[in-house]
Amino acid sequence: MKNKNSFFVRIALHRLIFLHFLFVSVMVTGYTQVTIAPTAIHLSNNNPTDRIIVFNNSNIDAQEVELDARFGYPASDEHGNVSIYYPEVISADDPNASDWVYFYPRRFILQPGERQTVRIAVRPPADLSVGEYWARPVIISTPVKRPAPAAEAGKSDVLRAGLSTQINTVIALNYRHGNVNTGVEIADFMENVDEDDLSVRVDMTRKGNAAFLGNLILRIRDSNNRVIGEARRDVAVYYDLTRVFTFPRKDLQSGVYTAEVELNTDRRLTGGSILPAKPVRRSVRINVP
Amino acid sequence: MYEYHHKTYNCKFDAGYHRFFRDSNRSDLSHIAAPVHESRIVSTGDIGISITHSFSMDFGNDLLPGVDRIIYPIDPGGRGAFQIEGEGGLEVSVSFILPDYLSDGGSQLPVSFSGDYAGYGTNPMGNSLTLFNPQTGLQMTLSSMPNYIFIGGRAMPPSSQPSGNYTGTITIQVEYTGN
Repeated sequence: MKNKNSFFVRIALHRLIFLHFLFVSVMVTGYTQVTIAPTAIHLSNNNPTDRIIVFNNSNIDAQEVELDARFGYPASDEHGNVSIYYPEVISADDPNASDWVYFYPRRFILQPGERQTVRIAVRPPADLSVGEYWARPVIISTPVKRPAPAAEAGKSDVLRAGLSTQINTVIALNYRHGNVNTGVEIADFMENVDEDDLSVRVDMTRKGNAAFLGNLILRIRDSNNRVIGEARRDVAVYYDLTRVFTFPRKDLQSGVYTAEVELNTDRRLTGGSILPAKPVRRSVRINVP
Repeated sequence: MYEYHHKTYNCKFDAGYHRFFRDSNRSDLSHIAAPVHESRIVSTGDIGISITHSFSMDFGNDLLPGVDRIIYPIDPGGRGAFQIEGEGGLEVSVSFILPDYLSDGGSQLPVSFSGDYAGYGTNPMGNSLTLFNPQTGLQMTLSSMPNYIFIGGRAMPPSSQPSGNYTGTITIQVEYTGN
């Protein structure tokens, strides 16, 4: 009996040890993680500095971090796809802040688990006109290089190929010089119904001398004024912006609907301050055959 | 089995929007105000954006001169893997800077990423990916769950390719488009 008990104890112990090593091997699987916060910086002549935090959450690699600033802003194509547009040629009339944005420190190394506060400061030209100026800080993160694997012994004809990774995180920086204001106009609001989808298109144009940062809320109401569909998106209208919303046609019965769009600045933005603007609303009637 | 989805991305709303459309009684936005993952909250209380790189692209150590090696984004071995976490419901633009060739410091090995060599989804194993061309990038709405992106490619060693250890760099760039 004693031998039988000690046998089962040994089995249980071996299994416990195996599970422990399995757990540890999973835990030490390497990954790289970089966190940047906040994702928007709003400065002004009364408040020309702020900070961001760069956090290396990796469990194996130290990260070499470098900061740069580029001039860019959200723009859309004709289908409503939004991306950040970086003009190849920057003219003197462009509200470009990237030339006078400074980071302290600009380059550093973060060990796993370390974080770095980076101060951001602007030093605009003395003759800068009233208005808002834009930049996109880029936080470039690469693993601190480890030695490449040595050629395998006795295998001089090995052909090996692999890639390392660089992570670029881009945030927004807006500098407000003097008295700035914003607004938005709905240049066009159209609907289209085909056999697959109901599409609603919203074309927006910025007013004032600062970017419109707000919400776009789209509601579809049926003939009884009941909301049957709603969507909300953050929008950033720097010049013009188009958004397209698509609803499955199969979810709509024949009849008359109303699409309503509202643009407002009732929005929380971590790291920045939203300029208030008057809400704008439009509606359009939709006939679904 | 992996589900293999191919969709031409044309700025349609993500699945979250369609869900919203069907929930006709919901006018609140609770499905967008998702719990924030702890890794994105720094000590100041700011919410940020996290990009995690789990696996580097690796074509392997057994390439043959004159024989292409293709890695698809659904292939668990060799693909690059990333995870993006930010405020759910916000939209980001994801783009890649990709090399035309790898180098061992002397010779070059051509590579290509032109085609549906990338995919995204909410499954960490890469099941049920929506594919896209990494050369053109992606605009996506962040899910309240971690958002996974996988990338593959094609290594094209010519028949005269010398042996060696060929390396290069992929850059992934993530930016909010609503700020």
